[in-house]
Amino acid sequence: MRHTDALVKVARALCARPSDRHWGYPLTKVTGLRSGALYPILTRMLAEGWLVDGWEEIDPAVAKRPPRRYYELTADGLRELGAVVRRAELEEARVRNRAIGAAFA
Amino acid sequence: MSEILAGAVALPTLAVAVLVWGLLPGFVNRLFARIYPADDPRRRDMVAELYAVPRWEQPLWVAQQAERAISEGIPARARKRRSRMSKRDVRVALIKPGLSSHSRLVKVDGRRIRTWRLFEFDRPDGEVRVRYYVDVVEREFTYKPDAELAQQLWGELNQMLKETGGK
Repeated sequence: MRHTDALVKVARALCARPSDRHWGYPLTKVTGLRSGALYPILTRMLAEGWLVDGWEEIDPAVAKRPPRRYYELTADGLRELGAVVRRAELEEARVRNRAIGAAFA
Repeated sequence: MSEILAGAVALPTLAVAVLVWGLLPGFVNRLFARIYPADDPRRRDMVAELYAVPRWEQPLWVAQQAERAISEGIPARARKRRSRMSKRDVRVALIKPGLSSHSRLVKVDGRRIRTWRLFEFDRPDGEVRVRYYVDVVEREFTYKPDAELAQQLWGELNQMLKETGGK
């Protein structure tokens, strides 16, 4: 998967709470991505085996709404997305150091 | 007089507000969801997720779903039309005893090797319910595995994987 800014944002959000269930709409708020960017990334992560999905365990008649879909990180996903986040942090540190170096030059 | 005019303006405004924040988000969202193929979990996902969105934000959120539905749904329909899978082919690839978590398996289909994700769950009555994905389309069926046949088929499949380099 290509390492885009959007992927890094999603990786950060998922790795921040690796054992939790993640839901679509709250993820759009945490990542700041719109749905058209977020959900294709989640779909690709599902296909890669980095996420597994499930459906909320509710009774639609009682809750008066259909069950929502959630996503959970797999061990593979935690490893791969953790690497994405670390790589992004290293890149950010490099850019910061370059900027500081340029400021004092 | 001014009260009459204010009232006349207020009623259509109220009607538009009820439409935009009341009726239309759910209706339009369901229309966009229908772009996905019928058995695609993203159809249910899109409809259900609307209930988590605050009322005032729903019109904008639904508009964003258009992008998602068109960019994912149309290719999904095209892929579904192209892919053909028989239950027999799936059964050959899936008979692996003791499988209890997601795995990547290889399907043997003539000369082609295709991959997909498998999720398998054991049931106490001896039947196995299998939920799997071809690309992102979710499918499910149950079967009763024959342990001896399973071992034999799995051995043959593993051999084929080694020979063809499939993953």
